Amino acid sequence: MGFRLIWRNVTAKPFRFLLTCSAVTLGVMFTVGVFVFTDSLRATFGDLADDIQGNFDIQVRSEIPFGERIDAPQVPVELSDTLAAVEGVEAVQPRIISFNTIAIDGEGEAQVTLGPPNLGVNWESDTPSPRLFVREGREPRSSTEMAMDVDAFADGTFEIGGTYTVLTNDSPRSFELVGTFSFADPETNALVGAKLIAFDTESALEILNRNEGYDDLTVVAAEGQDVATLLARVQAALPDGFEALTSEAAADEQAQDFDDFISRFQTFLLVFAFIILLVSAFVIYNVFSILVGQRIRELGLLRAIGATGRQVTTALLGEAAIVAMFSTVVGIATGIGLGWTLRWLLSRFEFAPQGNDLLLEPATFIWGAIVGVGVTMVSAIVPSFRARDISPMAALRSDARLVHRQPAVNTVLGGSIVIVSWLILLFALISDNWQLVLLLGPIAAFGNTIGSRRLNPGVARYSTAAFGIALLLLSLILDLGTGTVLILLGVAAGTTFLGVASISPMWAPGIVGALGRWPLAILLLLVGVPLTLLGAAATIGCAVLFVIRFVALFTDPGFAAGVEVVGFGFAITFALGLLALGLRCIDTSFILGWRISRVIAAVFVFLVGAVGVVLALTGLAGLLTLETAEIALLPVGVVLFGAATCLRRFLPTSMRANARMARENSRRNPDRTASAATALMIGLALVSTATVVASSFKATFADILSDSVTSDWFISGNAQGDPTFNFSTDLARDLDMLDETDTVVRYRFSFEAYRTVVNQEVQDSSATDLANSLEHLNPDFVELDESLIGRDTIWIHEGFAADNLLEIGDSFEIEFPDQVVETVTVGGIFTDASIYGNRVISLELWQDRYPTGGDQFLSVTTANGIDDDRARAAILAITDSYPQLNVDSREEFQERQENSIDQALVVINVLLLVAIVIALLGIAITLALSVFERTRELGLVRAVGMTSRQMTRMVLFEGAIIAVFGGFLGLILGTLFGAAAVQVIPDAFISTLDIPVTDLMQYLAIAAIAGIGAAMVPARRAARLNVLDAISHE
Amino acid sequence: MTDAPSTTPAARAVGATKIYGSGDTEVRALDGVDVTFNKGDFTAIMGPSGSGKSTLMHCMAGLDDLTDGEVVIGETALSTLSEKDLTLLRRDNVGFVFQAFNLVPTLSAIENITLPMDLAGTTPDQGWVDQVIETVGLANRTTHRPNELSGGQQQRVAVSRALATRPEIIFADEPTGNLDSTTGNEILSFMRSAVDEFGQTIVMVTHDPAAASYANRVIFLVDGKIVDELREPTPDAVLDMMKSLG
Repeated sequence: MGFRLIWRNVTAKPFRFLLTCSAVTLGVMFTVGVFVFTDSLRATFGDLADDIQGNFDIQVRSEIPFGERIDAPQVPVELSDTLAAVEGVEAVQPRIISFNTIAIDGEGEAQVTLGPPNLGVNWESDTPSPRLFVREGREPRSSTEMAMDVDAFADGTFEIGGTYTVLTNDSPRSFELVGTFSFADPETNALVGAKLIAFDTESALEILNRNEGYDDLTVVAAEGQDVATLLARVQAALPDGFEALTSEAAADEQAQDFDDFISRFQTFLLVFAFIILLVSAFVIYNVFSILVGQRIRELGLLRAIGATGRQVTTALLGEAAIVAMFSTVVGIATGIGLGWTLRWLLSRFEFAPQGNDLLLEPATFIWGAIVGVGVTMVSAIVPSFRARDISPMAALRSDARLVHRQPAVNTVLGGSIVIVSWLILLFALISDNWQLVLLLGPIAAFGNTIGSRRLNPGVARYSTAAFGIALLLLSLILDLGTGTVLILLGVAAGTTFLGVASISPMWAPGIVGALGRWPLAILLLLVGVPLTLLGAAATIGCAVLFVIRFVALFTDPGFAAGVEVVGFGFAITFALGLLALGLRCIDTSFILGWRISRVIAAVFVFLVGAVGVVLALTGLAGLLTLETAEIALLPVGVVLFGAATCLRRFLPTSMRANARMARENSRRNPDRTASAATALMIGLALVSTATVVASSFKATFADILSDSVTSDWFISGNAQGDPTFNFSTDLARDLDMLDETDTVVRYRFSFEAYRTVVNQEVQDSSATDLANSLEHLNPDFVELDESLIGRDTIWIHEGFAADNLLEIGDSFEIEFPDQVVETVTVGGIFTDASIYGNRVISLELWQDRYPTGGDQFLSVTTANGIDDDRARAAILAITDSYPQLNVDSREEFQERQENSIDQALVVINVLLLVAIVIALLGIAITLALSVFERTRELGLVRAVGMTSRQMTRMVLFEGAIIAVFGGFLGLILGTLFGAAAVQVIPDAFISTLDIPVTDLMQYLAIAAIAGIGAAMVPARRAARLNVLDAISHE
Repeated sequence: MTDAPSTTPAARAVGATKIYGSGDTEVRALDGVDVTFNKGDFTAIMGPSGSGKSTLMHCMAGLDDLTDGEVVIGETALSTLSEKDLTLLRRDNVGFVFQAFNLVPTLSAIENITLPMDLAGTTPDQGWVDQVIETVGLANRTTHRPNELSGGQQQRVAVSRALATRPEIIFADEPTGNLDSTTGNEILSFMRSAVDEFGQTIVMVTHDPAAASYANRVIFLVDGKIVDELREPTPDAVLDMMKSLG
């Protein structure tokens, strides 16, 4: 069919066209933004890698068979002379680099960065091409002098000539600041946010590396010397355990390290892009289905005048293609803007990528186009192909509907497809390879659906969800690697979403019918009142601040002050929005037309019921986690809920017509309601999953603290989980000498601490003062022989013991990154992996093998008869010299952990917010189209006496119904996924399932508010319909 | 069988003028119409296409506003009312029967009938509603949805709805236009009996002389002006009149 017809259809309703496009555009925008942003980061860090490893010809360092480069043993000082004697060597520059070298500025602030490292280095004086360039003052020349990079100098309160304390792994010391420098370039400081402090080489060797040696040596070739030849000579001159490589290889390796990190970050963001696109796909699918449904008579007419079914489908796909292209172009353009904004934001927070323009790789455009066009076309295919079956008779009938075409039943074919799908899945699972699971899992799920559609149409609807749930169970039962099992969980979640999406039209009438009555009205009332109060308070507050700042602007004008005033202006708008939304919620709740006494009665019944549900669910969660105290809540909750159900009889059962119409309208098109709700369901399910996991994480921590930890004070840094973080061992020594403390226990941890000699497996491990630790931590020993405690003792988890057939007293060999093999003896077997991980060795052994490291964490017990305040004062007097560290009591420590978990949850929820906004946009589009479709009906009810306010309430109530329906399904699925995730995440991280019922209920309330918000625009359009035009609308 | 129509007006228009467009494209849909509909009267408005009969009805019913002149329903002048008050007036004092699409598809017959009272939040007079439903013969179909009812039954539900609030006046826009003649006659007889038995005031727009003959007064409209009027019409008399008007 002609392009003209397609084009006319698209341009006839520009507003609708733009709404349709917006869902895809947002998804493409996010995807493209992620690529642009991470590509730029990559380029910046690629340059940084060149700067770090670019000013020499050959690098010489110790060989490590495994583990992190920062854990590598040092290079002996004498090696430098050996290399200098090699023929063709111009200069040998020793290098020292140490993390956690922190200066305390003139105001006593520790100059800690928020992510990039705080580094201590040596001043390179031997190389002809140094990387540090003096900007002011001079370079450090003695053990009492230091210099710092210009940006670190500008960030803190420093003066050249001043004396400042520097914290290192060793004792804190004071240095005179003799100069500033820039890194890699005399003009621009190319540090990307890191802070650098330089000492002269001899002092650095002592301060940073405890005279153990240099971190590496760099060699510059003599003029005209061939580097490859020199490399061979250098290698020949090296003793065992050391290696030499060219500067290019070193830079590549460095870039690869950065790249690995950026790729993980990119994958993390792309997961959210994928979620956003999945939600967009549902929205597009729904919009196209509605549009085809609304145009069924027009399409029937086309068929009647001779268009073939294929031509109708092509025309619709043509429209989809225009939507796809438009959204993709706009999405790519705005995505580039998003990437740019992200980079700019990051540069505002210390992390300053410089010197690179925004990078636009061809891959960015290709992915944007694939994603935008692909998602739109795939979503539009089903509705377009259904349109092929529209009969020419549809033009003549007013009640024509689209039908799902059911393939012919063929048991053999269907059965074999299903069986093959399951075999594919089993193959992927047996391989325990997450890439295979990621690749074959969706194929198997798809095959299962296709196959079961041919087996039995009744079963088909449930088959996808059943497959998803089966995957969920498999992920729990099978003993798979954590990576595989999490991927499997993701595939299971995706499949379950699709499955529930195909079942939910069957559930929609029932659930919507139950929801769209007084409970929803009361819910809206209950959320509306606090929202209104909040909005009113915020409006007043912002208005007062706005006026104060505005007046101040006259006396003290300035750009920042102006920005602030504008900011408050926006805040007022936002607060007013909240106020309006709250009032709308309250107003909509009166859709049932109750007298105030009835409302109070209903609120009471609702609260009794809601408390009952919360208690019952908490009890149920307790049943899952075998928390006996909570199980008792289950009957209480059930009784309360039962009471509410009985009391409900005394409430009026009749509803106002507009409430009934809103409810019935959501039921009249279950497909449409269900698929609008499904988009929101996905968003809320993921939010709930994250919430359940985070809450379980907190509960696990609280359990550990109450059951297994007996120490009173905890000393930690902000960067927990950062493997490079550590601090001076002086602190533990000084604390131990206090009269107010009993014992101080020090902790170290590494993910790649050593490997077992028998099977070459690299192991994570902790190290601690084993004897004293018994008074601080109890990892729940199955067996413990205290007489075995010594330098070579290891305590292991029962799982590791069983896998390796180890018993108390058994010895085995482990090899460290410095290639020294130690024999350790099992002195204890424990069951709780959440304390030490799977292994813990003695601190003495650790320090022998990692001689330059500092402590990562301390726990302290108070001496007998000392009260908390006195102990705290004594500890703080010591830790005052370490402003980068936190001193916490048990309660404070728990709070700190919970805060950091909450922060991570906020980040995840903010990223999921984009998906939720798209879902709400989908609800808004669905309602707008539904209002348009019902124009005549709405005109009729207006003619016979519905006021525009009643009309508004009706559409808003419908929005709330759809949103709460989606939210309800989302919460259930999310809780399920969250519980499954908690089960599969290793016990070392999360061992206690905790379902935060009240948090989840809040999400439901927020869903109701969001539904009202999404329905605002359609409701306004409905309320402003011209009655006469509407009645005569065709 | 018919009481003489009372002389109290249920609704009247004074100098009703409705102008669409301006300048060269100006169309006078209504051109100074003065008309009074007395209580208990069944009036038919007739006229050729574009004569302004629908416009008159829409303006009388408060669905559309006049360019000039005034409409009074009962004691209320419509020009003094806000949009909301107009809606409430339609809800409480005016009944409607349209040619088609009279019912809300998601509501049952009885819910459609009581819709205006429901919107007002008042309890319907159950005895009266039962009586109306009994009279139209829908007693066993009240719980059906509109798509489960025939076209004639749907129009009967529409008439019941219009009657249920006992409005000042009912406006019917071609109520039988979509029905076959037998069903149409049933509806018209029922409207007739509503006037006779309940004293209801009805104004009906139609172009069917047979339908007009159920009224006790026919007003002829041409180019936005009332050109003639018939009392106690017969189909033949109406037809003759229409022929003479061309």
